[in-house]
Amino acid sequence: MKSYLVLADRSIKIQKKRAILTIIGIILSVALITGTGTLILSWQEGMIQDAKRSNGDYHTKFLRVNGESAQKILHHVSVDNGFLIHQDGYAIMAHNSGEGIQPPHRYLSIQSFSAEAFQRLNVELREGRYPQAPDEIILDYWALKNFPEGTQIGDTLTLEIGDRFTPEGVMLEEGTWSEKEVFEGRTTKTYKLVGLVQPNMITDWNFAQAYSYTHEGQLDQSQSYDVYVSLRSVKNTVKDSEDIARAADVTLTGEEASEISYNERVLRLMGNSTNPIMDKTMRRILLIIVSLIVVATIAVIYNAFNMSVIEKVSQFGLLRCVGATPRQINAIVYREAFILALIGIPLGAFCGVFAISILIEVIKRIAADSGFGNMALAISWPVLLVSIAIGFLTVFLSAWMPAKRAGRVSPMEAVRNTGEIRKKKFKSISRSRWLLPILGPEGWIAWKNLGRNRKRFYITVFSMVISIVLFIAFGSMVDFAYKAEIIDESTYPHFAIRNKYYDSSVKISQEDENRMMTISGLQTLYRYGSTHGEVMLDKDKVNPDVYTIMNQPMNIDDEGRAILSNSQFLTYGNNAESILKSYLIQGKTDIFDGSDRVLIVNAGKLYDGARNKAVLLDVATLKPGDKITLSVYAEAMEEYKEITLTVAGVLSQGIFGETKNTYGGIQIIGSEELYKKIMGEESFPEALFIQMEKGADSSAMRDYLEDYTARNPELMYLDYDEASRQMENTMLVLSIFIYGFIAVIALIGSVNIVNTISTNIILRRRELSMLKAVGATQKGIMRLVRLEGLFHGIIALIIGTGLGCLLSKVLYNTAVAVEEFPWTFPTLQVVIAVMGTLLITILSGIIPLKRINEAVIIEGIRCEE
Amino acid sequence: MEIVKTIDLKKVYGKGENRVEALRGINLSIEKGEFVAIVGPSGSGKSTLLHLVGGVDKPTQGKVLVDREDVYSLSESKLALFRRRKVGFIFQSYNLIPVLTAEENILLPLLLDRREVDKAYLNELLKLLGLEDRRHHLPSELSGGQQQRVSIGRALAYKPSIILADEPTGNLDSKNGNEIIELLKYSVKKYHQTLMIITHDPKIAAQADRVIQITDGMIVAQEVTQL
Repeated sequence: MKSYLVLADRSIKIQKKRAILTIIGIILSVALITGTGTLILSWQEGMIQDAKRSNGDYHTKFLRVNGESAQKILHHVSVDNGFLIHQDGYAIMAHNSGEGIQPPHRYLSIQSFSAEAFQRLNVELREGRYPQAPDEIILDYWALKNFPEGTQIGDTLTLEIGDRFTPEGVMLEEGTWSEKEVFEGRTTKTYKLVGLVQPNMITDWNFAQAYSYTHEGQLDQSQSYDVYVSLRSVKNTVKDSEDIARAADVTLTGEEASEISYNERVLRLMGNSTNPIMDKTMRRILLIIVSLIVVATIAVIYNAFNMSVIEKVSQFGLLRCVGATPRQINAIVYREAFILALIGIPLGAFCGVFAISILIEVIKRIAADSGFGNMALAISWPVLLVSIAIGFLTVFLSAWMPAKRAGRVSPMEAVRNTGEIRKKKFKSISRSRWLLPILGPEGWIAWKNLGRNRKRFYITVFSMVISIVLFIAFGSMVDFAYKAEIIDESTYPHFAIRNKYYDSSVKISQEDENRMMTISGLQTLYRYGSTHGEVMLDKDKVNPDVYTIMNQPMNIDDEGRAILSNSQFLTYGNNAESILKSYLIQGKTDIFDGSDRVLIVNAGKLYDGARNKAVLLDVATLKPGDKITLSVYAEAMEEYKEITLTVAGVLSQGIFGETKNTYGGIQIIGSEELYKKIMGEESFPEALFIQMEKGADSSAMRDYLEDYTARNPELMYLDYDEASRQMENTMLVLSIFIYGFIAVIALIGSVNIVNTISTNIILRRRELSMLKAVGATQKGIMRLVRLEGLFHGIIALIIGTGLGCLLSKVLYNTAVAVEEFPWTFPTLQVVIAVMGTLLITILSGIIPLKRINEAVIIEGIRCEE
Repeated sequence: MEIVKTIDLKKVYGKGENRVEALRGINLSIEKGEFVAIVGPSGSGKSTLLHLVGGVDKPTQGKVLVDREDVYSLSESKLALFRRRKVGFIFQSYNLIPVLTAEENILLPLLLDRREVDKAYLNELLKLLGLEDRRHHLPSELSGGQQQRVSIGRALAYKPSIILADEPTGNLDSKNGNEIIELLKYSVKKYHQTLMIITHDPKIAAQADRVIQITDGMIVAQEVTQL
């Protein structure tokens, strides 16, 4: 042995199990920091790519600028790259009526893109190539059937290009219709068809997208262009964009004003949302989360290492007896810490990255078409270096105090006490004989043991407290995410059939409806009707905050009732009971008997202009049995109707995207019969919503709807299928992330508790064996150990629950800077924390106790602590 | 009346090259009320014998009968009761519960049995042990001698049939050591208990009714010293 420091190496080899437990603690903690950082970056990168895919790869767009301004914008020093779009106009694809040119028609919406625009706006080719000249064109693939049969790539298409106007001369945009709209042609152009486009989503069969080509050299001062740019830096997107507009002589006010618009989703993901409050909030929440993780990891490593050092105290005493200086004792401790850190930290960093890479692969398999399907592992050196640095710092801090203590041991005390650092002072141990008949002798000794080693007690409880606090706080953040609809549990329909003229109903024969019901994969067909009106109700049932937020006085009628304007009256037909029931929080859903019984959604979401944020609140506090009066204008019957309704049940939210009333009113959902009785048969149904079975193939339904709307040209169908499935998968993955994170926190806490409690037992093997020698049974010893663990757990729970709720409130206060909603006590999280902690503390002692129980008593008595 | 009997008692530790025969077939009989001293060199098997009689170790072979009951055929819970009520063990290194006072340490077997404390007996015991003024003190507040008295008190608390003492005076000065032996003799006589002591002190051995010499795991001599 060349140096006394080799003692540290040998000690690790001999106490392998203890060393492994410490290393596991280090690995878990470092892996969590590394994994969290890697996951956030990978997710962020994936989300950015996804946002670029769906919203486009740009930061700012300047709409309707002239050619000269467009050029100046593209060459501005702040612009990294950019592309152009020219709105060419519309061309009629087909004449639906078959009797000449009459609306409604089917149109091509033609835009000219610069070369880069195709990539950056994710125009995906199904066949052929992108246009490279102004007389080349590509179309949505499905638009071909609106052209003469046999039309294919390479053919020439002659199109009359123009604009759509209302009879009053107002220009119509894509997606809006007027029954008597007029198409005015401007020019005729001949294109060569060079490719077919695979659209991301088909929302309207009456507008197909077509793309021709433009480039900077073709800019025309008299024409209007949309210029999309990516900036060199996104730190000051708004200011830089405004500077660019100024420099390019872009007019932002007046009749023919241009407009600046931002790619908010991409910018937010890059941490530079144009909403400074959102950015600040996200950063603050992230900082709190990372700080908590760091504290939890410090607690774990400190505890694990401290236990390891305590076990070797008698050794240090002996070393002092043979002449080691305190500094030399310190060096032994630090060396052991360094070796454990050297093994544990790189492994932890590797495990963190590896775990995330596995997670990403799993997510890609189970939810490829979710918002996370594009995640790719993003390994960041700053994340790794920070994790490693925190790991080393934590291990050093963990070793520092025990090392100092060990160095201060008096040799004589160490020898005399055979294993204790110093004479234990138990002055503060309570007598508590009154507990003896309540807890029994084992429980009484367990209680007294709590005061035996104050430092060890504090460390144990502190570690448990940290885990409990994190669990409750993170768990309540999940609640916030649901309330703020970041995690959206709502159900959305997969398809919708509407009349192009929004004030007309969808006339579908019973025969057609029956045929639709037979299509494979269909789960439910909903018959939808909605209108707005006023609701009169007991003014004590209205939340006064509504008026504060809307900055209006309460509207009272002659009978002293409050009037809630902009309330919605809806029906989803009589097939909706099952889906409505899933959101029921009070009463019953028995409204489908044609009576005046209705379901109510009290929840609303209002925009508070004064504080620049959304507020979630209950507009009213209606309960089952309450009466309300609905006043609506039934357009079909050309009369105002007033009817008294009875609340049968209350829902937590609405369905199909109409989750909350955003206008200061409430939502009333009635049966089909009630709706028709009030609004008239003529106006119903406004739309049909189709919900497919989970995982069902929608192609048969899609084909049917395409054919159906072709035969009924006043109708159109909206295809939400892909978006709906994507949303479901995204929400699933988001929930997996959050609950997975919470599970890891719980795991760290569990490892910590197990490590602490099992060490506590092992360290007292002699004492426990002695108890058996004087007649304690194995069951009695188990009871003692379990109760000790339980007492630690109960004390930790009392402190941890209080602090956890406090932290939940702090996080809530941070989150409501963006969107306000009422804070609720995290009951479920507290219950789980209580049950989990108690269970783990009880189970922690099983293995070490088994060893003590199986061993011969005298061997336990002989062993050194 | 025979209180302890061992039949061909063997204890082997380890395997192969590390195999050690601590006891190589001990046949022993002890009468009720007898004071037996066990002597022998270090590593001879004295403590092993005592541990096997007290039910805190497991024999490799052979039997231990206490009050005609085969100790090692008892179930775990019955063995615990045996250790609690029938045997009082005194260790060399006291082995007190650090969080219990002197009085509480003494009462430990009774507390485990959830039995009512005979206050008169407790006070008598404390007086006998000279611990009246220290009854509410923790072990860390007692001297070595006082701690050993507490461990004796614990061994006597249940008035067990047998008291087993493994070098009870090994860590004490001669004055304290003598006092301890006197205590044990007094108690044993008063409550008609059987006492087995392991000792290196010939003066203590001389006070015993019988001295058993063990060497290399075998009884090599037995001497009746008191008539």
